[in-house]
Amino acid sequence: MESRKLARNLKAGMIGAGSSATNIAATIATIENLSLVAIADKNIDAAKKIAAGHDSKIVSDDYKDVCDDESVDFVIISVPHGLHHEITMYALKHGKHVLVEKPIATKIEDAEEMIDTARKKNLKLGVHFQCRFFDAVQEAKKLIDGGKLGKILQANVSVMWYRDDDYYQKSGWRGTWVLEGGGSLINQAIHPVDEMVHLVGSVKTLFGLWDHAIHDIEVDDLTAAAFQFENGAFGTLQTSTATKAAFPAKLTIFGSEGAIQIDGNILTIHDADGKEKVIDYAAKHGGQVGSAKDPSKFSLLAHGRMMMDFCNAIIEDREPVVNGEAALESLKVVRAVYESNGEKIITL
Amino acid sequence: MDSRARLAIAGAGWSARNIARGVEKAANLDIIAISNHDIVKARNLAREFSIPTTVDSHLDLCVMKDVEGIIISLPHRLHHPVALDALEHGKHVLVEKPIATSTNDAREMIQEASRRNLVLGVYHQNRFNDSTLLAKQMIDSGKLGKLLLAKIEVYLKRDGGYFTESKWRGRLNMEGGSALINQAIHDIDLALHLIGDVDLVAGFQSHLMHDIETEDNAVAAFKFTNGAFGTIQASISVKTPMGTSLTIHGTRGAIEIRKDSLIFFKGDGNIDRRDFAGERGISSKELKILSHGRLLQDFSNAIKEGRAPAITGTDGTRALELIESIYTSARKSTVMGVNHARAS
Ligand SMILES: NC(=O)c1ccc[n+]([C@@H]2O[C@H](COP(=O)([O-])OP(=O)(O)OC[C@H]3O[C@@H](n4cnc5c(N)ncnc54)[C@H](O)[C@@H]3O)[C@@H](O)[C@H]2O)c1
Repeated sequence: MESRKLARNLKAGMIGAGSSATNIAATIATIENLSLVAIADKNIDAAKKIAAGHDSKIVSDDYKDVCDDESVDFVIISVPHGLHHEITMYALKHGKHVLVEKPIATKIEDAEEMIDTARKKNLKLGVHFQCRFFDAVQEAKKLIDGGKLGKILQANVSVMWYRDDDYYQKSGWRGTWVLEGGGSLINQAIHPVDEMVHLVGSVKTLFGLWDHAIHDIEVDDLTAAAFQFENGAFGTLQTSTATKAAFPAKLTIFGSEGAIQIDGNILTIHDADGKEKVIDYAAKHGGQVGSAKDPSKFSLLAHGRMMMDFCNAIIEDREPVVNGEAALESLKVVRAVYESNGEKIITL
Repeated sequence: MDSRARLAIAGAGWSARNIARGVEKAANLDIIAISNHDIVKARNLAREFSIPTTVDSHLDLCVMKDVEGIIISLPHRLHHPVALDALEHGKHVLVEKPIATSTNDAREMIQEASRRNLVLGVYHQNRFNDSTLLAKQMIDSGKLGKLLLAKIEVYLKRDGGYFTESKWRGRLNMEGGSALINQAIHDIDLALHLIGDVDLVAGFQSHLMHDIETEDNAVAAFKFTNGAFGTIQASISVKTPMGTSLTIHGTRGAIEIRKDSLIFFKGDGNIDRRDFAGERGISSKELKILSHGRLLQDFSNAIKEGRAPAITGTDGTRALELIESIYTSARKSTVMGVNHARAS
């Protein structure tokens, strides 16, 4: 296994103790010299549940208690999207480095304020796009940068999944603009969108459509968009949480000399001769990547790399791989789809 | 009246050969003449398919008494003037896709045919594919539930030679466009046929690889009148030809439609694959020709029965309406409303 030991001790605090936080807490437990010393969730039982395995000294229903504690080096924020900004700002103002869950925020101005504040205070701001650490994505980056795909012509993100009515009705925050900040696109599809802008570049202009086709929610359970990248390449995306015939989430990149497809940690390469090569890194690492139906099965491989990178960024005083600026790109695409709304072409 | 339709083909290029092969599968028509401005090409096809008469101008076909209808298989820009010539001489017209390079031209053709009571059909042979027929049945019977999304993917390899061999290709005033109006038009036509009309669209296009005036890459997103969304991704400059497909997602299932297959992704996670060439025990190429035969047979019957063909001028204009809107959208960088003429 890859080294999971920090050069010096770091103490993490955690805000939000829901399903994603559970994965992150489990990841922390695999890293030597990293401890989880404080946890807050407004639902104190959720905080207690995670705290039990980590002998955390602070367990609270108020996130301020985590940020105010002297011993905490950085905080992990894993709360509804609409709260990312407020809590990140508070943590930064109290001198904490922040690792915030994806998306960075729900509004671009909010994200920019977070980025500015972190820079001014000389604090690290990382965003939990762990998929960037998949071997499939890293190998794709090498292929593209090495010119193996020729000129990049097109990209497509397709996330056709299903979430039932309960998913939206019972969560208390999903399905709303204020707290989720969107639906299938900002929540389910943002990982491949992030990978796409990472691999192909920034999007320049975009036309998008969104609708709540079947669920009784404010936000999208269906989106479609067409766009052009700064570098001239074209792209499309389709996302949904309204179809029972779910597909794997896929990012496809077409170059003049070949194409690649990324599905979790599986990379498929289509070369110029029409040959297809599938590299299943997930299987190589002995684990299922996780599935559309059950995100709790996500392997913690990428989580571990993400956490190591962020902690090392603090220790080495360098930028984390996925910093605020990097994470802003996917939010820009998402916001452009919502703002375009079938009415106008957005310049990002 | 003779029960077999007597038709002529204007043009003796690549697609005329497929038409001639399709004719062999249709039981009710004969090709009695073929024209091409380079008459050698016409003679070659005539020999191969036993076509009795070759001429070097479509106008010669127009004045042949025996010719009841003319199949137009010429560079896109010529579809309109040649169709008008044929109609003026009282000939029925079956025109290759796209019906014309502009919807204005197409409307003029439609009006002219209707004024003269002549049959005008458009050559979208994929409507007759086994896969399309099954898809239509599945959608109409609700197998996919509420329709959410149509995804059109066109990834083909057209290298430099393709554009230099036929001089009209890649030129705006002759081809009128490339990846969309020439290649993607088939799956666009199918999407409109299977799902319905489109209200609005915006798209982007350019020539990223080839030294041509027209687009070799394009994307678009659009909204159907019934609320479903659609996207188009088209490229004719990839070395990895992943082919063309139309995937339709509904709340209960999805289907991926290709010329020779249909994959049904069911809501319960099961997958049904149909391979139509395999089922018929023939090659994919042969299967394609069957669709040509069905279209030609329908057109000939329409002439004989004095009825509209399966794909009328108006119906055959719908894909062009959407494509024209994408070109305008890309040029002006604006969202376009799509005004489909009501089906006749
Ligand atoms: N990186 C990934 O792959 C991944 C996967 C799933 C979720 N996420 C992200 O993780 C974040 C949380 O999502 P989740 O799925 O864990 O949701 P969840 O509903 O399971 O957890 C959210 C938690 O936040 C708590 N909370 C709400 N308001 C709070 C407040 N003011 N102070 C403290 N706690 C508060 C809730 O009580 C809840 O326990 C989101 O940003 C989501 O997009 C990331």
